[in-house]
Amino acid sequence: MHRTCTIIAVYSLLLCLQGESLAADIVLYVDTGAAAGGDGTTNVTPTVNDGHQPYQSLTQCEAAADGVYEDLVTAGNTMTIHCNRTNGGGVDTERAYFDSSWITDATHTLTIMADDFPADGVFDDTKYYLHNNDNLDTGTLLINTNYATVDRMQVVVTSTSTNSRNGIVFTLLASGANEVTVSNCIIKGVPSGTGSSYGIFVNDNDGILTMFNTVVYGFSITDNTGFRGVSVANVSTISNCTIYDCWIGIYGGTGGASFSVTNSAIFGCGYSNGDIVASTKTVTYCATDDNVGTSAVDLNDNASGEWTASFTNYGAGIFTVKDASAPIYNTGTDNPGSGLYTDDLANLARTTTWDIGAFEYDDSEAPAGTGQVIMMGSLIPLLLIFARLRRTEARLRQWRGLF
Amino acid sequence: MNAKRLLFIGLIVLLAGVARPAEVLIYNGTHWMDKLTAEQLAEYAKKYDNWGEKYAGRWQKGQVVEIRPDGFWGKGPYPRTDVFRVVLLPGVKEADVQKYLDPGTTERRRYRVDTGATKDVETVTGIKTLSVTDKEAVIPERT
Repeated sequence: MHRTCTIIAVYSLLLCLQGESLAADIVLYVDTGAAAGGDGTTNVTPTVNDGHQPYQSLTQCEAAADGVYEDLVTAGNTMTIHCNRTNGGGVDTERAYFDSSWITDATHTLTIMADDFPADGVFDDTKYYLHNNDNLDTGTLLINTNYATVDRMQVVVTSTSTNSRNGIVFTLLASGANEVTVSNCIIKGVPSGTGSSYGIFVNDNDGILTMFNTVVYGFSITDNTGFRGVSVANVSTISNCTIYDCWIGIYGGTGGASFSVTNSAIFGCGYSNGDIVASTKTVTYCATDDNVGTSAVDLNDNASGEWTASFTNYGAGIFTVKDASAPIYNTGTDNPGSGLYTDDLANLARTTTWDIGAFEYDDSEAPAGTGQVIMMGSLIPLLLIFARLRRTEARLRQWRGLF
Repeated sequence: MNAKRLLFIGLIVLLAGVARPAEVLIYNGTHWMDKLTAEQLAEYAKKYDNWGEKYAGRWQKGQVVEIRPDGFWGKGPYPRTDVFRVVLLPGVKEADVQKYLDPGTTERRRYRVDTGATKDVETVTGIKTLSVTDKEAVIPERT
């Protein structure tokens, strides 16, 4: 009996181990500084081709992986693609396109992320970023794949002439299984011409977008509603994002019961009442010029310096909370993502009460006007230690005199 | 002396005026969907409502992956030759071949480049010698 039990236990263990080995997170690497010829299985960039260095662009990686790993569901895998820019590499100017041919589900997901994302959450052109560089009317990163996540990516969109140039685009998503996520990203527009340009575009009513800790700015041409920071389908949950200088901040079409924006700062949008445009919307704890929603913070078109008081340097793309007196400090609501994220774009932990926008103010910093008190507070223990040392020294001298 | 200098400057101007050749990366792998049997294809079609879209969206031999400027790959090394092939196009501007990245109505690319299909690297002089199939070309009716 004992022997039978042991055999069953060992056999079960082996089955479990086999099951473990079947399911895996396939990790692939992209590095614009890599030599050609690698299969993307390591992030090491040797000066010569050793066959395993990263792919040179995200699109190369996608094309090579598509033909082999694409059915993540049957294989029981997830996939994560890490993007980098080392070894003197340049900008990734090749449009990346994840077609609907990828097979994913809620468990077997696809994640695209940059490893060298700027630590301070401010756009950095020396780090990895995608930049459209072709004549096509589409997205710089085009995704037709359900359950795809874009995390910690920088994307720059240059629009010209009458074309339609966009940043991250989701389209042709299957009905039902259609969730996509954009998190911790910086999307920057360089607009010109009379065409259209969206930072993030969900071009599909089936799309269910979750977006948080993301900065979108610079999608504005005066009197052109084709320039939008975010243009989404009906079902979207946007929280702790900062959207600035877009002709329309967030366009939600007809919106609906599931179109919600929380803890976000949307300002500097030229279109009339253009911070959030949607027939039906739920907006809570947002800071906007249009003072929209409930528990709102009015940024008032900076009429009384509200933008200046809120952000470190919004004109330079630095959207960190200026100080503890900022209107967006501690005026959000805690944990709007129900545990989905607990830090900010710069990896700083969110603390109660959460701030509005993509950044959390560092509460360990000195609150405005109290610097002197804190300085004195930290000096007192030092002074006490110094006094005690002086007393000890005096006693030693006395004892030396005795002996 | 002046004549030599003028000749030198003229040569530089001439060289600078020559269009920078493009280098084209083409998908050359065999996609896993193309290895499925008829029975397996039927199973996938039953499992996924949008299987038609998924199948059409797979990478296919001859589709252009990316276009790079002169010298990007040059004499090598080249991207994985088990998945890709490269066509070098001296004298052809990048802008002139960018349309080959155009998506099709259902497929990833509207065009298929057949040139150099059996080689890892092929050099082609002039865009007219490039063999390209437009999959969505309208065939005129017979009159």
